[in-house]
Amino acid sequence: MPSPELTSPNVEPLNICEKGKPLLTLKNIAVRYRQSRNIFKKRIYTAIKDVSFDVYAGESLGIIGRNGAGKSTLLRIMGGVISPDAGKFTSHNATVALLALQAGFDLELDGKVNAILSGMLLGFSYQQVNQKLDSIIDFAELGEFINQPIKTYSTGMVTRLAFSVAHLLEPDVLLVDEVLAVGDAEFREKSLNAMREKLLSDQTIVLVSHDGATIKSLCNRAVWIENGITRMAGHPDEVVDAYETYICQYPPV
Amino acid sequence: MINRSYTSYLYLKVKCNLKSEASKNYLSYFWWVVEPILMISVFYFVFSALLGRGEGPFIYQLTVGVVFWLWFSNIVSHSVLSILGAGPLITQVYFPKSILPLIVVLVDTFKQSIVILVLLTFIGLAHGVSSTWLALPILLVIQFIVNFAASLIVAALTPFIPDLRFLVDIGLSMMMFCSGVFYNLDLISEQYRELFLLNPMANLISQYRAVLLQDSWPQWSSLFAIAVVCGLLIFLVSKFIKKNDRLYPRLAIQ
Repeated sequence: MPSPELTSPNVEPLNICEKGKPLLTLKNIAVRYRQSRNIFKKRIYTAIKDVSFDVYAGESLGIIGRNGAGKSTLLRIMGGVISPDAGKFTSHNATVALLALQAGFDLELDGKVNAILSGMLLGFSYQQVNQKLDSIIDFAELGEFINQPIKTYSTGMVTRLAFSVAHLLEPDVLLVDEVLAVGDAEFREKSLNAMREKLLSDQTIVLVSHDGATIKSLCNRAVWIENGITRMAGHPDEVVDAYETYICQYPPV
Repeated sequence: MINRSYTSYLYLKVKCNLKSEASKNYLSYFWWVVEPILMISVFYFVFSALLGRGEGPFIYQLTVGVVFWLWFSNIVSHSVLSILGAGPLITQVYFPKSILPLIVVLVDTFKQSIVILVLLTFIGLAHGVSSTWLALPILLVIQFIVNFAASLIVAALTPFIPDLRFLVDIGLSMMMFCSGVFYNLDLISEQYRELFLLNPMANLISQYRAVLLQDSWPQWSSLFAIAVVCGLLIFLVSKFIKKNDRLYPRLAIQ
């Protein structure tokens, strides 16, 4: 069994998905956080050391790595939320949106207004969101509740509304952070199907997960991030297998 | 400063915040007027009944001071955490962070404008209206500029120095006592008056009193100076916020 070395990073991104042009390019990205605000001791925590890959139009890219590997930080970089400390992130005129559940929800306001506000925060105009409002409400299966303040909703209902907003808007690149398991079993199936539909269509998706099965079933290319560096990129089956072998060998501390 | 596509978000958000805030209480919108009335009553009780200083136009001077001071202090204290406290949101989506203090400024200004209308009705009926009231809109615009500048400054700095939120509270109480909310300019001895009036809120409050109660026109030169300085501050601080737009989310999760 080949045992991957920790010191053999930076595999050149394997471009399996030849059909598209790059929409996002990450080159030698590094992100460091200050861990404490104590002025007497400065502890720097490096979330990402050196990550490079491209996101190509039309592909669904899975980013796999264990907890703390820097996956969420990578999503924030790609979503344009934060800028890296080193390296270069380029978006080739693509609109990018994080499938951010409950972005900007106000518990006192009704579902409709929250859907509009959230959609606008995700980068769409009032008109664009308004046009999609009916299908958002439909998809979320909220019925009469849509006109009630969302503080009266169950957790599942809020998640359904949030997913519907983010899902029905179609940015060039959709970033997803392991939120596929939302709501009750029935809605989970529905949201998974919706995601699969997107994967078959031309929608470009970046899905972040620590679960190999999710990546295998939903993505057509995968990048493995370990310890803040790109370990491997390629076909999901190969990457996930290598990742899982590695995880078994070097279990999380 | 803010991209045009965000202005419609801003408009809707301000409207919704007002609605959302009101819906939390039984008396909802009524509180926006009741709160300052209660505060004025307390001051009036202390100063006129307990300290025996209630003679003459004191009640009018007091209400003018309190109402315009509250407009400023509410905005400043609500702006402190406007960026830092929005952590869950700003770590998920990108948007220009100046929107956050601006929302606070607009929401509080709307609420306070109702109070100001009540105040003007009260003074107009009980004390009378004079032609110098015509200068009031200019004073209001200049105070808006002052409020906005202060809001941006505290919002922009707290993410870098979270300890500021305590200092702002203390600073506001100190500033309240230095702004002549409960007393008039003529109580200050001649030699300190110019120093006292360097504080823009002290300056504005005494000008409001002059215009609304003493039938005199404002001192244009000092108003102009305040507007220029605060306008410049708004420009500089929004540039600062813009420069750090993608740094704030990181400060919020650190």
